[in-house]
Amino acid sequence: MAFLEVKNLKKSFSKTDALKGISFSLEKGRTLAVIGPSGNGKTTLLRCLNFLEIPNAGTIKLGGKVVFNGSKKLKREDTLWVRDMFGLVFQSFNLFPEYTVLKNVTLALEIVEKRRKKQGKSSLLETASVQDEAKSVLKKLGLESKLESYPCELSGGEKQRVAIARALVLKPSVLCFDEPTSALDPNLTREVVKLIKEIKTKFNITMLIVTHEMKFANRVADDVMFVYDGKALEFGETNEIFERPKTQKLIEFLNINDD
Amino acid sequence: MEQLTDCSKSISANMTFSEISLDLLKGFAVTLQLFFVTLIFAIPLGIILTIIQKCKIKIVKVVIQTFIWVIRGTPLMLQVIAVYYGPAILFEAKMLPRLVAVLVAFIVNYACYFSEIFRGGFDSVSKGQYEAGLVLGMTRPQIFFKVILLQVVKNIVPPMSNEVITLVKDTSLARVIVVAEILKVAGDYTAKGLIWPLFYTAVYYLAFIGILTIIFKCLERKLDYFKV
Repeated sequence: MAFLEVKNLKKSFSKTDALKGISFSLEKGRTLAVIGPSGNGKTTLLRCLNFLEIPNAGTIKLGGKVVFNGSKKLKREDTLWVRDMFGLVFQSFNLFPEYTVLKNVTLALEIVEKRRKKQGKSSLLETASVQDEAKSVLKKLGLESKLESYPCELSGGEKQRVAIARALVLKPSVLCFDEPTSALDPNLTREVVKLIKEIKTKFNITMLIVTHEMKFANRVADDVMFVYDGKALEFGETNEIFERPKTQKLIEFLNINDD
Repeated sequence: MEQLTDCSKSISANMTFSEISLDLLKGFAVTLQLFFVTLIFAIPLGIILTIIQKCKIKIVKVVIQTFIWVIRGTPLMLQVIAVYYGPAILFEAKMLPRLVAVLVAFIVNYACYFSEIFRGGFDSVSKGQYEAGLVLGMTRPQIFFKVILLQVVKNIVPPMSNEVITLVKDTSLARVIVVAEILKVAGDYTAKGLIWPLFYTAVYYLAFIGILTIIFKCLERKLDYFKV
């Protein structure tokens, strides 16, 4: 059974329809790349899944539980549960500038731990303390020497790894990336590919990556979804999508990106 | 006119430098009183005005914005006069004590300026900071107090330092309804033919503003370790 099932998801802003009924599903442990030209709804989809935008219609089913159904009002506990299940790494990382790398990672963990304790849920910690937990994740991402640095002292690549650590420490089921290569130097793309593959092996996590870079998607994803004009035009395994595109739009898109 | 007679009675040609200094210091105590009381009340009131401005009900927003426009668009001196004489002229009500009238005008005026500074401080914190907090499972109050607030403080220190220094000098407007702040005390000496105390008041202002400048510079330096 699919871990994440999205059906006919719609979202419109005052004058534009950003999502015109997207449906797809994601299996546990797979990496899905959402590709397509800019301004066609990829990021809106990601934001809807994290409830940063509330969809207008459709259903979202996560781990067998319906968390959004256009007809009913969003419950607070569902919102929190969904956000616990998803981790999101923003395009511009959005680190907290006033805190050190370590504190950036521990801040939300402390809060979520307290909340889970209150709700009688199990702890997220595998180590003795929040600090140790954060340090262990940061070490896995090669940031052990940067614990006391502030975001303004880090390179773009380091900032991204802090943002990833901050999301991973909360043990999400799905880690989402919004354009992970676009805020970095083009020559860092290969590094990001390596990093994402590393995360996959070290953390064994399902990933959803929004990107407009074809080569990058080709290298990291198991599955690819092509989003065009607010709709999912094609969905399939990476090789299949890149080698045998079916729709004219995807063929055009792949050709443009080949040049 | 009780304050007027109060200080003029002591003026004589034989007054020593230290006696006049002490007399001016008493005036400066009134200045400081105006300054600190205004600050203590105008900051929270400014925060309240900022919150109301963020409110989604359009009519409330329009009313507050119009109010701020009127307060920022008219001279503070006129507002002091309005608060002091206004109630008596319009409603034949009892006049407020002079010091209270000045304080009311100052607090309302500065709250409006502060609220605009606070609003700017909030607006310059990126929306991404809220969103990062939300996806990490934090609630809005947690995001505000743990993530946003310090960034706002960093943003508002430079404009607040300007406004606070202006407030020190604006206290001299209280003399328009004969509140015996330092400039009023010095002015009374001038009226009796002794002009140097008037210029000498600059020393008091400079000393106090010097201290404030150092405090604000320290605060700025303390928050210098991060960039918003």
